Amino acid sequence: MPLQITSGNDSGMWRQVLDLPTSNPESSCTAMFTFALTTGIRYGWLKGAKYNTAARNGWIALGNKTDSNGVLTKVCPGTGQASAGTLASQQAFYANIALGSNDQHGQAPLLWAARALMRPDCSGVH
Amino acid sequence: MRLENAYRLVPLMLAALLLSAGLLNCSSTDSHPTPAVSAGAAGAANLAGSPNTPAPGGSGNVAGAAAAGASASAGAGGAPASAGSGGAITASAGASGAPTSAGAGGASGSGAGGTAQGGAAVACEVVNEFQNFPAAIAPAAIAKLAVNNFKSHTGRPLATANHQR
Repeated sequence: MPLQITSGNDSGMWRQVLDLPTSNPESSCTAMFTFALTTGIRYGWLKGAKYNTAARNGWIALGNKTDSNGVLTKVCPGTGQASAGTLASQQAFYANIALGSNDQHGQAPLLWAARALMRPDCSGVH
Repeated sequence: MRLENAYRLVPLMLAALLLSAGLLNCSSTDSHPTPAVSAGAAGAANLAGSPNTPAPGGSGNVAGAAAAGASASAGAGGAPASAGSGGAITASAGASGAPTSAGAGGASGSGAGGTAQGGAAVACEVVNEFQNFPAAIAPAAIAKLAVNNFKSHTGRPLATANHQR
């Protein structure tokens, strides 16, 4: 899956600035992509091992970033808008925003992704 | 009229009585077919209900059959209830608008499934990659933790939720 981190402790995550390799892995976008991929896969809209693997790795990454209190870490808060400037300066603006935890930007998509994986409206293994 | 003439009329009167009694019997016999007709009509209504039993099979005609069952259930009792559940099954199988009305027909039985899916197509792909997660990070385990955590967020004002505008 393009731009998903594929190795190391943050394997399975996507970055704060997706196509900037130096930006931090970020949990809320990872949860949203995992939710979207999983929903498409389970409804039969997305077919292929690459999607299945990306969604699985995304969920594993989220699980590893969630503590025993259900708090998702490495979440970017609301960013506001970068001021006019160069592409590099705008990338830097977003990439330098400190990540936090227990933020609803991440908590809610985490629940979406879990629900999409479990699909309680389907029979069989959840 | 003289008395002896009156005696002559007795046999005639008896005959008249017998005839009228016979006529009464005939009219009584004639009156039976009327309730028999209404009994036949009731039977027809039951037949209208009974085809609903195959409704769980879920053919394309289920919508009409279920609707007939719903009206028949007023007099029939338990049997049309299975027609109602048939409507629900068809609605969850979900073809289009017609099964939705089948689901509505099923509401006289149970009806919950009929309204839940609204006739939308539902796929439930089983994905091997989603079957075996480590127990500590299984979706159900994480979801339980996250739901408990989320309760603490529901009363937070927007200004304290790290939103920036």
